[in-house]
Amino acid sequence: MTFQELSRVLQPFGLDPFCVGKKFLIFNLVSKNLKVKYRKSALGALWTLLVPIAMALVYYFVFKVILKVQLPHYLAFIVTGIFIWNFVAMTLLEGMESIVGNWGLLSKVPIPTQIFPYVGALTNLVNLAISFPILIAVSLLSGVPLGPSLILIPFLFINLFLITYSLSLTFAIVFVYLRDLRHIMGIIIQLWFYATPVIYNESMIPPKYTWILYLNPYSALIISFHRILVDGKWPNPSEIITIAMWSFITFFFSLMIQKFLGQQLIEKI
Amino acid sequence: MMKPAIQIQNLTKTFKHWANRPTSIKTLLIDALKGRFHLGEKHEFCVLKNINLEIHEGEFIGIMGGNGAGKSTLLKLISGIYTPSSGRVKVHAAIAPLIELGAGFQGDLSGYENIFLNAAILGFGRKATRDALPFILEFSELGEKIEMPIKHYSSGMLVRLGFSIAAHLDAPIMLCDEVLAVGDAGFQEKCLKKIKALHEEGRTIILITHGGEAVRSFCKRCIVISDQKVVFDGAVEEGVNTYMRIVKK
Repeated sequence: MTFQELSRVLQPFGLDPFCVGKKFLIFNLVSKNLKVKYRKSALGALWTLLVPIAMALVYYFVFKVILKVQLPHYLAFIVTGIFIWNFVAMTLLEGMESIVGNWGLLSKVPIPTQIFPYVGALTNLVNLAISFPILIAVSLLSGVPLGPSLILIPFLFINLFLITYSLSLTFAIVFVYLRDLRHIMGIIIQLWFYATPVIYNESMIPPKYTWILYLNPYSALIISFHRILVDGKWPNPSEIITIAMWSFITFFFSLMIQKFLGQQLIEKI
Repeated sequence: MMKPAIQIQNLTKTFKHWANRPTSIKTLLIDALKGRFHLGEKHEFCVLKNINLEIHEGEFIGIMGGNGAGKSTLLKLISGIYTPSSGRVKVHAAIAPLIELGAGFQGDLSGYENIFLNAAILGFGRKATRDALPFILEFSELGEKIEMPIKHYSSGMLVRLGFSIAAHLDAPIMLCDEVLAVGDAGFQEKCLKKIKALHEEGRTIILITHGGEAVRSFCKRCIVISDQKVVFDGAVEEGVNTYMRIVKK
């Protein structure tokens, strides 16, 4: 089902998570974000890549060199996970504040409130897509046997986007009512990072506890990305099913939040 | 037979405010632990009550009222920023909501880029913006400065750009606040003349005004809002008098 078909189904319920009919506005807002990010400083464009790379190098040093963790192609493993997690963390944190933060504009012009988390997620997705060749390069340099399983990458990206957008929209709406979420969210994201197999492999967890790992919507996603970009293999069908299931759950949940808490938000800020 | 452009039927707008509402997770948790759960006391604040108005195509209407009377609220209800608590607002054509000029202007981008951004925010598409572009550029009198990032613009330049965009995008209904026609005296005159020209092209213009020259020279109909109601709807001169009486009380 394409996003268009999905939007048509949702319309009679008064729900419009993908801001149908606002393509020009979305395009302008995303370009504005990208221009501002890349023009501000000489290193602007580079900075988006330098930060995750620096993080990856630090983790690599600590876990591979100092702690001597034994995982094949650990650099590729770390870099892949960090880049993807960076997308998640930034989208969730920025997205949460994006409705309240744009209150000025929302109170003067009739635009749907969900456009801000949507544009935020799209902007970060573009950044991730731009840095994707680096992931491929690191994998190749590490000797990863990249193969036809790469064809699943778009599917993974779509689900990554859907889950992350749904969560960031949910947080953005809840943030309107509960402002101290700002302080709590930083900690939640930190803990969430450790609950996701980014710096460690799922095989390092005792088998009877592995199910706990999958309570995290991002576990199956990261594992699948690793399977393709670090092992050069196809992800397990059960991982794919778990991913699709989490996409459905998070999206449906965000729709409920939109319906019951997200109406007429401008009057509640 | 004049076609209706906007029909407002039994419109009521009440704002709800919850006093002592828990606004933090901390408070919610404390309440839950103590076994009580409250959403705060509800205070209702009615801004507009049972408003009935019919605005026809091509009219030039001045809306007047004291501070907080509900003029902006009415415009926001018409443009869709607010939803009615009860009653209906039926709008039969596209609206350019000019409640604020330069909505969405981004300092780091050039004037040129901001034209597209602002037009998109106001609801216009790519083609409409491209078609209007040469007129916008000419009217703004900014010349080469259009390529500069707008954080370097003076307030007068910002107004000129903002008004230029608003005035040249093709929308049948325009909602404006008189406060918009600012800038130096020369530009003010140019703005007012432009608004008049737009009206003569057949656009419906609703202007929030405070009884200045603009109302008297351009508006043919005046609506005065006070006490949640429309207290006057008719000829301009009498409308201005009604308004003066209300605010000077």
